[in-house]
Amino acid sequence: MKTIQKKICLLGDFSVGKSSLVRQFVEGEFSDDYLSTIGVKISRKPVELPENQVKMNLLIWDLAGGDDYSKVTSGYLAGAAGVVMVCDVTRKSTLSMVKVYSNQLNKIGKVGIPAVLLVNKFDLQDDREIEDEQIENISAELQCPWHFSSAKTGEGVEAGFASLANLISSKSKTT
Amino acid sequence: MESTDELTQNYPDHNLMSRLRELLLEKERAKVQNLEDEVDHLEKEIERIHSEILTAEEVVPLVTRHMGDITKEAVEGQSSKMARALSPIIGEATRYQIQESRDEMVEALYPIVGAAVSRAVAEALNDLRKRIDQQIRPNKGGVEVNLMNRLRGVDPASVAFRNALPFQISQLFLIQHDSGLVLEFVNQNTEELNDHDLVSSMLTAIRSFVNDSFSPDSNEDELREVYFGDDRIIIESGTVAYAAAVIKGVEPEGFRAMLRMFVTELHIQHKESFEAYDGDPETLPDLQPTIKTFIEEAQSKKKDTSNNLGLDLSNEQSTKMLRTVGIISLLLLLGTCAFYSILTYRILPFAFGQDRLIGNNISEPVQEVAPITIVVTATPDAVFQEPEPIPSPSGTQLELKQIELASGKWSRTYPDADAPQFVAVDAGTELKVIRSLGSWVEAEWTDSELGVVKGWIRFDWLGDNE
Repeated sequence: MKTIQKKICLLGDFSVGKSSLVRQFVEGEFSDDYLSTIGVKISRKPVELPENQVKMNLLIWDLAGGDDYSKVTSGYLAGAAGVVMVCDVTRKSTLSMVKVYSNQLNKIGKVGIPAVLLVNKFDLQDDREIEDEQIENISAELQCPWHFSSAKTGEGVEAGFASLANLISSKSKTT
Repeated sequence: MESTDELTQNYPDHNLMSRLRELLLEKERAKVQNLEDEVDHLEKEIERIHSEILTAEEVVPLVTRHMGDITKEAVEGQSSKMARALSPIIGEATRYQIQESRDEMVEALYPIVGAAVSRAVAEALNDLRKRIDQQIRPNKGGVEVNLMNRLRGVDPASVAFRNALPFQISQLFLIQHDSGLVLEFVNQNTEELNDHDLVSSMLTAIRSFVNDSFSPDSNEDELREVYFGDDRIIIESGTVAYAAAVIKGVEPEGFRAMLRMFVTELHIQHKESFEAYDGDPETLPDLQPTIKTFIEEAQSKKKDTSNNLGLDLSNEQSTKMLRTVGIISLLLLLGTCAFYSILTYRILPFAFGQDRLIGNNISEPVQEVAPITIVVTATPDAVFQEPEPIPSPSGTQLELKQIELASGKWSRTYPDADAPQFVAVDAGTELKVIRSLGSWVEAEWTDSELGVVKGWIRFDWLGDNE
C-alpha cells in the first residue's frame, strides 16, 4: 500500500467546531497557539483507502473563521486538494456562510475541488435551527456530500473525512 | 422538719421573700448559670486543645507534606508579594550556597547558564558574520581578496575567524510552494524527524502569512530567513518549489547564492515533476543523492575556505608578502605614470605645435622658426629628422614660400584628418609653409579675426605656387 500526501483545508464560520472536529479526528497536531497567531493550525491524519490500495496522509489546515482572516485565508487555500466545510446545526447563519466560503474558493480558481459539508454539533438536538431540507439544498447547490457530525461524541467525524479522502482519490484517478 | 405548707402557714413572710427573690433574680441566675456552663465548656476545650497540641517534631512532617501546595497557592495568588518577600532570602541563600559548595552550584547551574551563554555567543557570532560579510563582498579568493579586504578595512584575522566558525546543514527541505507538500527531505541529524511533513506545511503557512501580511502586492519580497534558538532556516525560492536549509553555525561565504543556484538547477531539470506533484512520491525523481551531494559540497566549501585562510594567516609571512606586493604595485604604478608623463611632454610639442603648448601661437612672431619635419612611426616614439626641402606632389622641390589655397578648408590642430578642426582658412588666403609631415604641411597665415595663426593643412588642398 503506497502512501500519498494531500493538503486539505477546513472552512467554516467562527465557533462552528472546526478545531474540535480536528482534535477529535487526528493523532498529531501543532499547538493551538498557531491558530490564534497566524490564523491556521496544521494537523496530520493518515486515512487508509483499501479499495485504492492507498494510505492517504491528510495534512489538515484548520483555518480560522471570521472576517479578520479572510484575506490571509486565500493564501492558505492555494494548493489544497480538498476542503471540509463546516457549519453549526444550532446556528442557521453558519450554513449561509458555507456558501460564502464556496464562492471564495471559486474566486481563487478552486472550482470543482473535492469538498464535504459537515453539519456539526448534531448532539445538540434541542437547539437545532437547521432542517435537513436546507442542508440538502445547499449540498445540491455546492455539489458536495454532507454528513451530520458531533465533535463531542465523535459521530460522523471519521465518515466525513473518509468521504473527502475518497473524493480526492477518485479525482486523482480521473486526472 | 417543717414542710413548705407548714412554713408558709407558720411564717407567711418567708414565702413572700422567696417569691420576691425569685422574681427579682431570675434573669441573673440564668445568666450566671450560662456563664458557668460556658466556663465549663471552655475548660474542657482547653483541656482538649492541650491534649491535641503537637511537639515541633510532630508538626514538621505534617507541614512539610503540604508545603508544596501552600507555596504553589501563595506563588500563584500573590506572585509579586512572594517574590518581594523571598528575593532577599534567595539572594543570600544563593551567595551562601556558592561560598559553601561552589562546585555543586556550578554543576546545578551549568545547564541553564550554558544554554544562555551558548545562545549569546551564537548571536554575537552571527552579528560578526553579518558585519564581515557586508564588508568583504564580493569575494573571489586569494591574494586579491586579502588586498581588497585590507583596503576595505577588514582585518584578515576576522575573516579567518568568520570562516573557521562551525557550520552544519542539519536538514534540507524541498517544498512545493502552495501546498507545502514535501518534495524531498534530507535529515543529517542523528535524531529522526517524523513530523517533517507537518514542519514543511507550517513553514509554508508562516511564509504565506508573512508574505500576505507584509507585502501582499509583491511576489518578489518574501521570507528568506527564520531564526529559532541557535538554528536558522535559510530559504531560497524557485518558481514552483523552495528550499529550506536548517543550518547550525555560520554558513560559508556565498552559501545563499550556492543554494539559489541549486534550486535553479533543480527547477531546470525537474520543474514539470514539481509542478505536477499531487502528493504521490512515486511521481518524483529521487533527489536524495543530489541534495546530499549539495550538502557535502557546501560543508566542504566551508572547510576549504577555513583551511586556506588558516594557512594564509597562520603566520606573518602572508602579511609581509601582501605588504611587499602592495609596495611593488605602487612603485610600478608610479613608474608608469612618470614614463607616460615624460613621453607626453616630449610628444605634445610636435603633435600640437610648439606655440600651442606655450599658449602664444597666435600672437608670437614665427618667421625665425626653422622648419623641421616629423615622421610618425607605428609606435608612439617620434623620430626627429633634419629639416629637408618639402617635396611637391609632382615630385619637384617646394620652396618655403607663400602658397595659396584653391578653396576654403578647415585647418587641423595636428596632421590628421580626424584631428579637431582648428581655424577655417578661406580660399585665396596666403599661407607660409613651415614644414611637412607625410601628406600634411604646417602653415602660417593671417586670420582676419585671430591674426597670425598656425595650423596643419593637407598638401593636396594647396593651389599653385606663385
